[in-house]
Amino acid sequence: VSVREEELLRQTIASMTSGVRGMDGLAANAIVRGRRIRRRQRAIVAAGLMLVMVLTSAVLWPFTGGSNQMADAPQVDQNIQLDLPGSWRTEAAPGKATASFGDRTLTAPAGSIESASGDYVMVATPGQDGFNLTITPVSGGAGKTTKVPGAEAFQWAPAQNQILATLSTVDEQKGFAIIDAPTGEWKTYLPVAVPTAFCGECKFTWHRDGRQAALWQAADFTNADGSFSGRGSTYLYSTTTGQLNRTLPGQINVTGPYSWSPDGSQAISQHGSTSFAIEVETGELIRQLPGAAWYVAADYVLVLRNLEGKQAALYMRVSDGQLIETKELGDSRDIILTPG
Amino acid sequence: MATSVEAEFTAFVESRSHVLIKAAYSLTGSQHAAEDLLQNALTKTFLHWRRIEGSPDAYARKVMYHDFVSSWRRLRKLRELSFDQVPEHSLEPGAELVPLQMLLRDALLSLPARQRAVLVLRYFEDLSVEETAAAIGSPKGTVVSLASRGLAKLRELVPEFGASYEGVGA
Repeated sequence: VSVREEELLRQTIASMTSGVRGMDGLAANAIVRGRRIRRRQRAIVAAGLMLVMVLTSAVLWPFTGGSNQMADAPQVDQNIQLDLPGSWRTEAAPGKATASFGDRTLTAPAGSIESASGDYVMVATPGQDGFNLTITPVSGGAGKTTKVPGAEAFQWAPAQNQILATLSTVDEQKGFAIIDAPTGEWKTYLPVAVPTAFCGECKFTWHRDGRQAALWQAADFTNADGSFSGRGSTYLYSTTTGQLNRTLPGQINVTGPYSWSPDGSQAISQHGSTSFAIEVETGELIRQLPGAAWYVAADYVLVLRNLEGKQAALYMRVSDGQLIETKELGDSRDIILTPG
Repeated sequence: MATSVEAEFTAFVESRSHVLIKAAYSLTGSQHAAEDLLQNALTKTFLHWRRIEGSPDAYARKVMYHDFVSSWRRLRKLRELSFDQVPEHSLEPGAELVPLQMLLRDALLSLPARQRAVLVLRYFEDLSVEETAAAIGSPKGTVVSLASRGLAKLRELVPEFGASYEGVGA
């Protein structure tokens, strides 16, 4: 073990224990439990002696299980906000079903999602052949319901009022549709050139530039032990022609437009409870991150760390891994990222 | 009215519990599991108080490590990590290591109980190989093997930790 490695291990174990709460009544509880155990032991011995001596009865001291003090759950402020560069901020959003982007917060019902402009809300409901999509203007008026055959997943564009829908056919051909929210019109690109050998869930997501769709790939991303493999590649398609624009080295498990850095040179690949910031041109690993992550500005990411049902937001710099700020967000299921 | 044994024991717990709870937490990674582990170890320590030869602190630790390893199946259910207190601001020296420490902490807590116990004893309790072997009741060779396998697994799970190994050398 190297000196630095040993030092890092010591620091890690020490930091693990830095937030440990002390306990009250440890000695008293131990004494009470100890007495109880002694009484029980004595009672058992006495009972045995009495049986051996064929006495008529034995009296066993009743006992109960020890008390287990439960620490108080930490109090969580449900209105936590974390200021981020470019006026981004996070909010704990109990009960909200999805992330939203826009200059104001819309209280959307479960299952709905707001467009980046804040002008529309979409609600997807299961239909006979994929989902039906209802797009409703926030300003009022009737919503439009669009039935796109084979639609499996929907995602708003990072800026314009367009929706990217992943399409799938019964013979497992893959493609996508671009739906225009104001008119409800849509155009499909099906099938597109999909590398099925590497395709995991095969969901298309927006690139940050709003002009390309990336293929979401999950298979073959990590080694069997969970370490980063770097194998495979990532496919970018034009959302205006459906054509394959380019292939990036390394499978990058992007989840949406903010998986990409503002200039598109880096991307975050999510895998379980961890994620990897990757240089897209080379496929090289820049940094492993301790949770699901999104770019909020160049070189800065928001990392959501979910442990025991509690979320913590970490605001980090990618280049040197420096932790800038952290907030405990409690047990809220979803986080709203709000660019100002 | 407390007897002299109870008074001695109470004084011992009051002076050492803050250290012992950290040792328990470093093993379990959970506040509640650490409290259970320590409470049980202290109960056994109290029961054997008059017969303890040497340091009661060492005795309590030995009980704790033994209980942790032997009750691993039960504790596995509590293996999910708690993250109750994250640093509010980390702009102090060494802050850049915090995310790496988080990854390393996750990896450490994913190790099998004996590997984790050995690493904690060696790098948290600062015990020698001989002392670690005595604490967990295993031969020295087993301790060396467990530590080696534990470190190798940490390098696999956290490439950045392994990079420090490759960069500096063994």
